[in-house]
Amino acid sequence: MLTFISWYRAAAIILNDLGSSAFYAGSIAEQAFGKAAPWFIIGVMLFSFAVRAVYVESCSMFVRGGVYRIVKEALGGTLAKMAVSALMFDYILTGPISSVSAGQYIAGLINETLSATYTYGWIPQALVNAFHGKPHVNENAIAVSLALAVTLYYWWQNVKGIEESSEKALWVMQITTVMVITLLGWSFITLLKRGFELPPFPFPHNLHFSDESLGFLKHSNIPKMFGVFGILMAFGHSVLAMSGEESLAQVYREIAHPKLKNLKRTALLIAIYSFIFTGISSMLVVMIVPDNVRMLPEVKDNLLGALAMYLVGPQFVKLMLRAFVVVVGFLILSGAVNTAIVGSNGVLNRVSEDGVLTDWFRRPHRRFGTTHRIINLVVGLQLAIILVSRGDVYVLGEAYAFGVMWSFVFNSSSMLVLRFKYKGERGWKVPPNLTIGGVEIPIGLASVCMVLISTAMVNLFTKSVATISGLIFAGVLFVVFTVSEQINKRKLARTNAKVQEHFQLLHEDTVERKSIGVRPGNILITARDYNALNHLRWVMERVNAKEQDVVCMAGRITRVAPGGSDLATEQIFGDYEQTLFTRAVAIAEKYGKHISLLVVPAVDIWFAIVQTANSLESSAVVAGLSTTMTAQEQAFRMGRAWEAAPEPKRQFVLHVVHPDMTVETFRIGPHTPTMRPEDVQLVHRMWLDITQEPGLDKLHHADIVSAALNRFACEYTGPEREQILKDLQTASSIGHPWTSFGYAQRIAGENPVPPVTVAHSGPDASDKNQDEPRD
Amino acid sequence: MVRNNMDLLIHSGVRILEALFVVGWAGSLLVILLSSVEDIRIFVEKDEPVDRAPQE
Repeated sequence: MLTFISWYRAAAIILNDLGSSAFYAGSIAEQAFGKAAPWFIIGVMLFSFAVRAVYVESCSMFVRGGVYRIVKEALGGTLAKMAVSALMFDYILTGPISSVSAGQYIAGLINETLSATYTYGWIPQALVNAFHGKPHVNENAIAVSLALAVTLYYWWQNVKGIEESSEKALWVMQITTVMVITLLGWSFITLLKRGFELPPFPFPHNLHFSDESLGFLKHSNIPKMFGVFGILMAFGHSVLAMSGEESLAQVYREIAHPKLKNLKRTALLIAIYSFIFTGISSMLVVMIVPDNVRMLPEVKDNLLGALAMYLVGPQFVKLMLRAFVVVVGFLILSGAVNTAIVGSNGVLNRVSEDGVLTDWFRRPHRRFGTTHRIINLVVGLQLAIILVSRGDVYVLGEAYAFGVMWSFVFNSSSMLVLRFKYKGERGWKVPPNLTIGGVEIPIGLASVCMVLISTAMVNLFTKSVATISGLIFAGVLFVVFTVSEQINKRKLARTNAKVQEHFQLLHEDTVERKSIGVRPGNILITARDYNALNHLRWVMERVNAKEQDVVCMAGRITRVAPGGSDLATEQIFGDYEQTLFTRAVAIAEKYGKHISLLVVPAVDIWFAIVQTANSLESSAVVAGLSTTMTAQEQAFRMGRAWEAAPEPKRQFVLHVVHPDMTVETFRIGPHTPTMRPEDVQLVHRMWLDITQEPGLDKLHHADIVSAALNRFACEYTGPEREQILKDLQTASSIGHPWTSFGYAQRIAGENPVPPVTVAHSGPDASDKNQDEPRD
Repeated sequence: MVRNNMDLLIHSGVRILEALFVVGWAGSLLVILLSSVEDIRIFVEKDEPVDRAPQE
């Protein structure tokens, strides 16, 4: 997804999903059990503080991220597959509910504008005649059309492989914050001017369940028999308000150092923000929008828009505020559509990497190198759901709650089991914990788990739409996973036989040069997409294999920290890697040169490449041009990973080979900076001046640079730090005509340093001019 | 008899869920209180500056 982002950027990404529920959760809850709904939404938002604590603990553990691995460790493979199915149901439905809700807000605004212009007589008579009165659009039809368009737009973006931008998420949240402050501030002024009455308190006698919201209990007297049970049912109908919190686990990997501290900051910020936005705004809607208006078919699905229209102030200004609310709603809800596609793709990719889905799903797109089959599958399901829902947000919300609830249940119960099963160190534990007779009792974690389980159980009976659709979806997915896993196991057996025939497979816990059997100064080639191996050809054309060894490395991204012990062979070397290496070997054989092959499990691919280059004592790393970033960005990330790598480490050269075989080369690690001519002049002028002083006639230019740098370093750690940073910001904003990217430095020339020159000797001309084999 | 047993089962099931919910909420309030106090402290705390000389 992203690489090393600040905690507030991480919060912005999560809030794009979590905050979007403010636009529909209140309405869904009120439709289910009446006017007391805002109290329950506030209750859910309060409870989300506790759920965030569970996610912080799960992220702080060694087995981080992926639900499948966590649940498998704790509860076994079958339940792990069920957990992933529930999570997928959650992610897949996030798209339709967000996009349909966005469509409902747009349609509501169109109708409100048409109504206002009709009142002033600004609508042409022909249009009035055509509509037999006040013109209006069909909200559901507009919602479905817009939802399809937004989903298709993000499908194409994901197939192309755009990187999710934290910048964009931050920008959306900044605008949303302006909207929230305006809307809430204005609402409080309205309440002060008009007076107010709180919604009925959350007591059992104030809960009025609709037939639909009683689900399978419609004909029983259970809801009326027990007071607390009614509250439990109402809570279950409101739990949708905290959907999106599961994204905490998704962004943890990307959060900058200090990771756990920053995760806690992120978690607290999102909990407070969503409490204010979702909780308070749903309360204000009930207090300000009249009862006979809120549940009108044309109003119920865009309550925040309606809230804007019932504030104090001139009609035109209120219409402008509503437009602002709708624009913000559209931005944040469409952001959630993208999060849903990216999240589903991520989850299925990891499941595929874990050997549960066949590698067929992970085959890269020919042009963009993305996992387009998974994206197509996810988006296809989302489009079908949008069409089947016919724009009904309530039905979508009901179904959505199933995925949200059960993914929380699986995560929290797995964490509870792991407290007893996995005694290893954790970065943090959900408080309070009581130790009796040497046994630690996780009171806090168990409590959260109890609330989640009881709510999920009740939801099974009261949310008939969710239960039926969720069980069918999760059941189908579970069967697909199980069958796919069986196919994978059979394939693995065949692959192992083939591998033994074609490759000598050695399983090592660490990468070591001697075990690979290569000499220092070798070339490391990174390979990911077997359709894009031009950079391997580029190396094969130039390398003198007698003098320099070549290693082809495939990084296998996994959420499990590499260490080898908990990664099975099928998780490291699958069908996909076999195809990749078969093609790599075929290319090398055509040039008659030997290459060594290596698969490295990695949490961060850049770090893995740097570590491998270090361990193998490589002098050059050769990569193909990424489909999602420029060569400079690739070099920057590689350089940053180099900085983060532990000592001892050695410098190397990075060659990024474009599809047209042009090459950009960078030095990774500390390097001599490229100086501007005017800076060289300045040093020289100072040198001329200083050497006039007595006793300084033997001074060198380098001494001046060295003294200046030492003084600069001292000042940088002193009170002048802020001013220095400002000066540097000014300098960097001017733009650099030279070719340095902070962590890496570009070496000038189109094809300046073939790998062989870096290591031992220059390129062998005869080698280069040999008959070029065709692929 | 069968009807009575079914009623008893449903009654007990509902009571268990209610008890889980109420006890769980009480514990969750403790979680919210304790974790939030700690998180607020971390929220306002400044990170130690990275002890590394600036480099290009």
